[in-house]
Amino acid sequence: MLWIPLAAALLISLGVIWYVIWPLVNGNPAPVLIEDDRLTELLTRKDAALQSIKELEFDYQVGKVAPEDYERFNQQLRRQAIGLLQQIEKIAPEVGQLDDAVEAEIARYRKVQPGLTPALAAATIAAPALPHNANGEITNGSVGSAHRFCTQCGQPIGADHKFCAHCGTPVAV
Amino acid sequence: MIFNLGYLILVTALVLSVYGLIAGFWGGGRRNTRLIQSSYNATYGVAGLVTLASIILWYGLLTDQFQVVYVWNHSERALPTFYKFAAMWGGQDGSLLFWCLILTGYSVAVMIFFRHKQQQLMPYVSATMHGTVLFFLVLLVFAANPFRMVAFIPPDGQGLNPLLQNYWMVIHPVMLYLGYVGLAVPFAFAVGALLNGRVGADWGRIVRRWTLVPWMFLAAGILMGSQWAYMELGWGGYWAWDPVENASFLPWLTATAFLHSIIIQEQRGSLKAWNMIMVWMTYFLVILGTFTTRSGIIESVHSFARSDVGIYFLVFLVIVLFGYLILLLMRWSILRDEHQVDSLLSRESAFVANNWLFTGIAFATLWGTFFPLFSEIITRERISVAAPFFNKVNGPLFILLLVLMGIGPLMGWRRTTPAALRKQFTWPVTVTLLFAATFTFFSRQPYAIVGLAACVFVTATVVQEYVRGVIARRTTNNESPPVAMGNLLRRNGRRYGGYIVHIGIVLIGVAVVGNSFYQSTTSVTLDTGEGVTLSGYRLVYQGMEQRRQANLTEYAAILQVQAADAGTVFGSIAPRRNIYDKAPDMPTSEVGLRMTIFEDVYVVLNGWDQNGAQATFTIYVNPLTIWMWIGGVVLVLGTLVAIWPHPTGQRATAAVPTQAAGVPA
Repeated sequence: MLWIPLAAALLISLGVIWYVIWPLVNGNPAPVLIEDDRLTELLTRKDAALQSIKELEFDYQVGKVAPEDYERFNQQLRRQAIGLLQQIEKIAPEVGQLDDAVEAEIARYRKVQPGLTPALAAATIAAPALPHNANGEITNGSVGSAHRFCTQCGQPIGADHKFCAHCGTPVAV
Repeated sequence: MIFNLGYLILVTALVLSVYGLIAGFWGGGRRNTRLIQSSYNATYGVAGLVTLASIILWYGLLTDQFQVVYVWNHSERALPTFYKFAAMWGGQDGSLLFWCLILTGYSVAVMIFFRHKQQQLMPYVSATMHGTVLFFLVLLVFAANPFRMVAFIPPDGQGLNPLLQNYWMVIHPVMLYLGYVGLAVPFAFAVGALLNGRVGADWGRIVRRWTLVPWMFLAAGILMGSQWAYMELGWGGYWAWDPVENASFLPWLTATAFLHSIIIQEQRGSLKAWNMIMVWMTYFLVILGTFTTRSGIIESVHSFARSDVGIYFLVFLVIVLFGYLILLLMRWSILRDEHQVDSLLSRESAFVANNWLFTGIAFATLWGTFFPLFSEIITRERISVAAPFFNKVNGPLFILLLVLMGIGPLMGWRRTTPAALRKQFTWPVTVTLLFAATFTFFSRQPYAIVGLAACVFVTATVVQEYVRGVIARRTTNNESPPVAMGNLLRRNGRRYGGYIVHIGIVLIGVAVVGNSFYQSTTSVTLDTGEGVTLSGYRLVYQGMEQRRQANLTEYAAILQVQAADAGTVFGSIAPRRNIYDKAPDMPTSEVGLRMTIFEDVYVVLNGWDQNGAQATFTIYVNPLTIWMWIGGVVLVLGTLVAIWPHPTGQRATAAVPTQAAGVPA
């Protein structure tokens, strides 16, 4: 009677093993590994910069940040966001512009501008012009992967550079 | 028969997880998408097999298959079905299988959620999860087989450990497992980031959500364990710094530090090294905690499950420790800070101080837990380290942490000017000092005053934050106060949900102070009709009652609770002793409890004689203890607010406005 569980275990195991090795043996062309490309990284950093701007404004409104500090940091963050948008612009020209885009993005985050109803805000966010996969994610080719970016202007920094080649800000060690 | 099948499919699962581990690391390194997909399929396959094995064991438990040794040892015919189901995690082997089940569940959830994202990272994440699953499958197949059988069918089982036949003891391990096991996910992401050679800008955001959920479960599990201890063990307290309590607390400490510190990494790109180390420590402490509970290496009231799994755990712990250390050192350069801390008076500094405090508490707790073991190894004499050590060392550190909990959120990013400091701290500090001054009229206990003052301080800062936040939204958006409040929670859920969690912690702190410093107690033997007075209550013994349940007899002593001065009757409480049929020498104590928001009346039945004409009690009056459980609920609610997806939703991969404005040259 011992052969019954053995046979059942064998059947189940073979089924699962077949499922596991199927990607190795099927005749379909191998799927392409979509690199976490530079564009996604830039977009994430741009999002983070805009989020920081929003938080800074809020902190200023509740009194945690002094006015002079608010001005200074606000300018820094906006320069950073603009720099990042410039980078994004270079890779995918259809995406984003500069100051106007920054303002629109901030408005989108805040959804506060008088007259800018949610419907209007949604309408200003036009359909993306970038190629998308089924999940709506941007799938652009890789444009090389620099690992570090200047935190002032958003330009990439070489691996062994001590200063940003674009704006001269020293690199934090 | 079917149980042989159960064992064999665990063997298959083990082989597949070895394969998945190798395929994930190799495929990820070579960017071989076929291998990677195969590794993902192995995740689903292993999950399916482990689920099937679990169902088989549950079948055995629920249908009284006592030829299975595990079912024989942990169940009986008369056991209520609810406990038969829970007997799965009532002993070593079954609970390891349950661990594995939850782990594969988390693996599948991660793989499904990220199946189209983070494609450079996920192969390594998959491989690391396989590695953890592999360890537990090795235990199950070689050292703790839940499907071991005997050649005959015993007529009945030995029953479940009486201490476990309690609602809280059923739900507490489940919560703890959901927490413990879930903390393997952030570790897998850390390994992935290090192997990938970069910590991406969104890594922090991803990992934070996948840490918050298990963290919440772990916190809930720890609190439920405390509640069980309070209601079952009958010593008037809820936390004894027992080695296994500490084992669950340690990863919670490092995970909490990590959750806060990762915010800095997201915002400022700093503290990457701290975060990588803390996530490593959390995982290590999870495995260490699982090991401590099961190996019997530290004597404890929990070490009911001793077997030969100890050596396996030791080997795995060494692998985790040294393997990750090597990886960390190899990739140290990618963990450089992008920004320095600009000023001591900044939120960043507060977070660094937070890291140090949590690490300090974790270290002290770890030291105290393992010191007896090392003292025995080195000096052959077991020096016991008990609650007084932990309270003395951790108490002040926790108070400092409370104070920091109030200070940190009021600081600005980068730096806070003296003017801003004045604006932020004037009101909370004033309220705190007023409170402290008033409270000294009622009590002279210094630690209690400081502790409660810290709690008041944090509450004042949170209230101020909410008020100012609502005012800010009203000024900018013209929202009414309720709408503004709702929007604060929706749009800034991380911050304002976090504040709610802090309030939960404050409530727990208040309960701790009340119970630790203001408890009153007495032990007394009463005849029927005789009463005793304690802290404004008068308890009058009425007599004993006896009641049969399915597998036990309950002996209850009825006491009427009255106000000591006016004689108003509040009600009655009935402390019990349960004598289990299958374990008559292991009676459990059910505390008689009357909870109000001010204090608990807590009675333990120690014994009785002369058929209940006389009974012996230990009575406690515990101020403010209910706030610990309320604080736990508040903590969970706050976490849910913090996890809730942001309404704007769209992140880096979202549509971007393509307006007509031209691009400047």
